[in-house]
Amino acid sequence: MRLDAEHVRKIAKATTKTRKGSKEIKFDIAFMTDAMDRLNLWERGLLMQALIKAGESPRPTAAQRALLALFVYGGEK
Amino acid sequence: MSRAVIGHNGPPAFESGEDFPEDMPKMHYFKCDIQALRKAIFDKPLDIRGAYISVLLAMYEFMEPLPADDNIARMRCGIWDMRVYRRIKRDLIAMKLIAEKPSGAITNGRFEEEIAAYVTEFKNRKLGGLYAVQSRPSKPVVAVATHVARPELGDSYGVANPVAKAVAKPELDPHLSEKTNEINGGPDIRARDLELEIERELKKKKEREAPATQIAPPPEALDEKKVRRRKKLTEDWLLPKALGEWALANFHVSEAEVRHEAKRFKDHWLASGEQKLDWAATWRKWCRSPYLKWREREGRATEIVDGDLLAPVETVVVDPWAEQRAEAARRRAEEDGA
Repeated sequence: MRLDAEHVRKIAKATTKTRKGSKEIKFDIAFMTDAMDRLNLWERGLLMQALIKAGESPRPTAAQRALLALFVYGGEK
Repeated sequence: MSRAVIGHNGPPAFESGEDFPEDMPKMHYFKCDIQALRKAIFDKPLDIRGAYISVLLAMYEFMEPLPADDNIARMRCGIWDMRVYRRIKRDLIAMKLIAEKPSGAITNGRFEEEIAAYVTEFKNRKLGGLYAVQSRPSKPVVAVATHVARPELGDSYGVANPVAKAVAKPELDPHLSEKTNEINGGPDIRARDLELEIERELKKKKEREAPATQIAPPPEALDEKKVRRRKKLTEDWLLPKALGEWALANFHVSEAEVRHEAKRFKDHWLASGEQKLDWAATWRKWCRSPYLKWREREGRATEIVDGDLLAPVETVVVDPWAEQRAEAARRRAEEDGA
């Protein structure tokens, strides 16, 4: 998955809206756990901050999309 | 925001992973409400944010609250220092991001809701599959509870019953459904589940035991099939007399030409090995072929009735000298008479 179009598709697939209208994103548990194991608490907090900003942004940049696409759940492999 | 204990009127509460059905698959993802998460952690220090997400991930990964044992909980969260874990735990509880159950387990309100929804959906799908198998026969199944609004109880009865919601079948007799609902009075899921499983097993057994009966096709159908079958041209094939006459009648050709073409026709189709449904039609097409350059007779277009051309039939016996012989005989008779 190296193309931006694939990132967009994966993010769109993993994003839903709640009844209240807020955005809900499905995060891949296994991938996230693996990533967290390599980081210390401070880095984990930073990663979450980046993910939240990317998820919240109405027009995320290509870098934000790439970051988000890494962590969202893309369906059964 | 957080909720340590879920009341008995709310969604089902699970103390540990052992409370789940045995065949329930692991969660692959967790849904994260971005705005709510932002509100909850954006004013907190980075290590608290990191610890919070680690606690959540550990709970989702093992599908149960963090155990009361700090050592196990610390390992699950990936925090290697016990002092750090205890400090983080204390801070998170103080910030009401997580809550401690009376058993000492660490949980989170959102996590409890997600797990409850996941288990309920899994059960509904499982039961839905069982009921789908049951509802195939046309007769109504008495054991099935349907979602019927009951004003005297408030519609909450039907709505709160996920099983009834999942198996609502509009084609069932409404009277029967209502009665069934009254009898069930809040369905016992396990008992019905078991009952349906037994019925399904019996049905499968019956299907296995039943001999595989094949319905023989009617003889007419067989005949039709036989007629329609394509055939190859055989080695002993000879041009039927009727087709030879048809060619003579429709084209300006001599009998010798017809015989010659019949030989070519036979050799061509023997060489190609093709199968044809109607060899008479093939011959007619052959004769009309522009490559052959046979000139058609005007006003003599006659069709012949198709027979079984592959059966050995009488060959075309055409005497090329018949006319001359007849003429000679006539002359001889005249001379004799004179």
